[in-house]
Amino acid sequence: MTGPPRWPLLLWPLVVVGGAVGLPLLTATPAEPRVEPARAAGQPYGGETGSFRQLSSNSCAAESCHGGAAGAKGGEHSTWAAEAFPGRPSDPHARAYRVLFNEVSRRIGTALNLVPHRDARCLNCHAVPGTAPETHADGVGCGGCHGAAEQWNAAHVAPGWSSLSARAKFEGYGFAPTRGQVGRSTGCVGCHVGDATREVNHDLIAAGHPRLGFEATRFHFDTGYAKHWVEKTPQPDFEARAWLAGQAVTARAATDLLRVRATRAAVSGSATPWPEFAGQSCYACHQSLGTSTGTASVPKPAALAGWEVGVATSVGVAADFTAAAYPGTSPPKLAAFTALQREMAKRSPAAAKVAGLAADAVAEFDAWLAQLQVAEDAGLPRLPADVPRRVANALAAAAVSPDRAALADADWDALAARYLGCAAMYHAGGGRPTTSTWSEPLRGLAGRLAFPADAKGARFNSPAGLTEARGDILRNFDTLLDATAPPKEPR
Amino acid sequence: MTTTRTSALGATLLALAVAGLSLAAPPAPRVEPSGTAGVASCVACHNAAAGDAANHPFATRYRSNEFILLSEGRTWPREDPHSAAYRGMTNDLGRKMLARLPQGKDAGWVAGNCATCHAVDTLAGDSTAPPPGDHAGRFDTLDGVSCTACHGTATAWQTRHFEERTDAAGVKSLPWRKLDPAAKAKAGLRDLRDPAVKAKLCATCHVGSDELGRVVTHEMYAAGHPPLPPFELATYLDGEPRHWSPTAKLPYFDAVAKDPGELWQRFHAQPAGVEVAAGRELAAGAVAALRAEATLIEAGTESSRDGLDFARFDCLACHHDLKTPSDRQARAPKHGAPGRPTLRPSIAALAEVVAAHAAASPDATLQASAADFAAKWDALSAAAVEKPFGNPNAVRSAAAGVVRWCDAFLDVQSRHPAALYPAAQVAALRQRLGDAALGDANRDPEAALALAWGYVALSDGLPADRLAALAKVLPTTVRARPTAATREPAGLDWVSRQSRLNGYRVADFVTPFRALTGP
Repeated sequence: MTGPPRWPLLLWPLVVVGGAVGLPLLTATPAEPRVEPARAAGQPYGGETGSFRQLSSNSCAAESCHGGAAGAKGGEHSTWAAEAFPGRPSDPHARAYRVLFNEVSRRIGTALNLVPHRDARCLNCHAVPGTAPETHADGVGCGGCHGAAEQWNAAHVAPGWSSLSARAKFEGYGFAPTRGQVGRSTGCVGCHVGDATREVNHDLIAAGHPRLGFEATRFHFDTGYAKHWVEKTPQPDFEARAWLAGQAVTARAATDLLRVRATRAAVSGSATPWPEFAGQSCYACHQSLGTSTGTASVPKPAALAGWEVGVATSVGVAADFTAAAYPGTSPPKLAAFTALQREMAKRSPAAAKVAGLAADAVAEFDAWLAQLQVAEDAGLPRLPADVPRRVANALAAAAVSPDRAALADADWDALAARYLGCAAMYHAGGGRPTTSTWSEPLRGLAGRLAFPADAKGARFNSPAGLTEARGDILRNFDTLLDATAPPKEPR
Repeated sequence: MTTTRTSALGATLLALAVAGLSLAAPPAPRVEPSGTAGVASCVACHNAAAGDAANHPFATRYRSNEFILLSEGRTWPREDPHSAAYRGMTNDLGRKMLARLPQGKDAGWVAGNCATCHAVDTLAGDSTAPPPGDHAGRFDTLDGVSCTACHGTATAWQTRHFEERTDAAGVKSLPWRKLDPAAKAKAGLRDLRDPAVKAKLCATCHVGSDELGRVVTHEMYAAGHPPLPPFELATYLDGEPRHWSPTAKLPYFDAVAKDPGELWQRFHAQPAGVEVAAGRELAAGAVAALRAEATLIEAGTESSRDGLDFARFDCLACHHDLKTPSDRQARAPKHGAPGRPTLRPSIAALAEVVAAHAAASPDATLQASAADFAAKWDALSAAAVEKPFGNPNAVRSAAAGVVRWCDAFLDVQSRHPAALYPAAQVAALRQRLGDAALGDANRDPEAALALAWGYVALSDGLPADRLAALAKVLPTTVRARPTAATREPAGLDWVSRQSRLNGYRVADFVTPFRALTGP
């Protein structure tokens, strides 16, 4: 084996619900769609599909439809099901509801005085919102990602369906587009980052819920995830663009969630915790004391731990490569996002001001995503061959200080975001000989960023010992920076 | 006719000190013009060799050895970590901290925020401290927390306390000795035998005091300041190289022991066997620590509308590696939701036990206060988690309530002339500390530490092997003594202490602690 294993951050917090994709098929004209409020032309679409009624996953599971043999075409529902491959990974979405009965969920329920399998705070992600209680056991069933099937269940097998545009299917029928990366990741982030009706806040995390940490490509290739589809887009195009669009979608979701939290907190007398710790860097605070004597960098005592450090770290590189990866687009303007980060670095960010800045920043991300969406809809040409290398090089360069003597940001989420981006670019290239020199530093980073187990067998959910690993991490990014440098021109 | 003059002996010793020829010759003090209160001027007289106090000139002339050890000036500079306190600002960690802190180059800020504990100049009235160095001959920062830091600004009593008087009949005496502690305190000599006075004083640094500029902020912690361990006075005193004698072992104690009124007035002590001194020290220390913290909290609500400084909260609430399984998650928060930073549980752990124990106190005020404690502390705890980092208005009034409770309690400790902590009461207090350490309180490592320290401090003859077993889980002493050669508080070893706190598990603590409390 020459490359790093797929996503070897074994203890990256496993999250519970998310997006998957399906394969719209067949031909001819579907039934008349219900008209939903139209989105302005060029607006990104995906995710929430409005007021259509959800159907049970059983509607998809007929043997002649998607209930065929697990692992085979026509067996998407069977592949998705929790029992698809006994003793082997299946789709965690199918288990989303069941976990509400496990020990962790019981403990959370006790701590927060709620009944997980009946509480909307849990069910909104651990089942499909809008489904009847008797179908909650499906977990995040088909409609959770593919859209409420009231209209499209019949339509997608009617003649003419395949000739409809993705936008028409989404807006007219509530069918969530999952082939394009903008729409697909937009479906994931509703749960995997959170939104106005679904959020994992610090109360929930402290009670025992795993923290969230969404990165689109890592989630796509999680070794514990059995896909029920075959990716149509070839590499490196798929993974490089999935990473880039994922950054934009994730940043938008995180910013919009911040807007929601700030708006609630800005109301006088609000009981909403503010600042909401769940948006801040976990390990800036959650590190044992006394192990970093003499090595601490300049303290940032006047500030809260970084806000959304992971995506905020890498979204700039994604923005820089937008035009290269999506021909016809221009780099997004993220001035409000930058101002928002500044406000969020204060000891006590002003909720009302944050709400306003976040709304402006969401608009910036929407404009960016709209460009990506238009480019996707128009049909993308093959990715220029050097884009993955250049992205990895930019990420590695940003990871170290200008003199390469120190890490630019030693926060775990920042380091992990840069590692994951580089790893995505490595895998996008298939680990071919041209990128084999990346392999060793990537493996080194993965090993150093993984959460350890302690001598007594306890499992860490945080990067204990990271301080001591900084030197190794720096060396690996430094090596990666050289390995991803532009090839020398032949004389 | 009476005459008063500075004793020739005192003047001679002082002159020797000025000339740098102090008899004691501790590590060279830098300054000492006459008439000031620096360490050297104290050492000039308080310099008896160990075991030789009876032959000290002040012993033969004034029988001073019956009141004090006379060897203070040898013990303190060589062994007492307070004498090395300033080194904490100049050693490797201190230099790094000053480099990291944005205000580290501002001498005024350093004087007002660091030297306030590390080099205490009481001449300026306790409220400010000078920048490091020699200050017009008044004070040498190298002396750290020097004599006057605890004993009080000496300007008014330094010469007076060895002024000799000869009465009409030609009999020589030291009038200062005739003064009672209150009169001496009025002149500036702090009555450190009063446990409440002592406890409140220690807590100004070991917990903090906004008024005196003695506040370790989160910014300082982030720059590297070691976490302040829980304050338990009896344990801290045990760890102190004593330059004073237990009151009951002083020859003068026997002279006044037959007069309990005099004994109380002079020494805040009871006749031998009537009260266990450590009991009152523990109680006063526990409540003084809580009082200091509540005062910091109250002051903190006024200095910032953004909620309290992080340092006012339980360090370990945030600063723990996340782990599964975790004792922390097994805890049910009393207020708010899980994950809201709470006040440090250790701050109230001892006071809670002391308060509950007071329900059976011989003093009616203490008895009454016992019932009040829970509500006061509860209100403050709730206000502190009402919002992240506290709801300032609610916190302020609740903290004031706690301070009032503490003041009333401490007032009794100072004032009550009869035994508050006879052996049976102390045994009961010790039992309660042990029970609390084996109860829910032990889910917090610092609270377990404070309770264990209290239990050990009130115990005699604990088996060394069992103590050693407990020490593997939590330190059983505050620190080892500094090395004589460097005066560095080498025994501080806070990293070792902190690593034990970091790796703390309830089960690991319960086993050796239960063994310690068992037969």
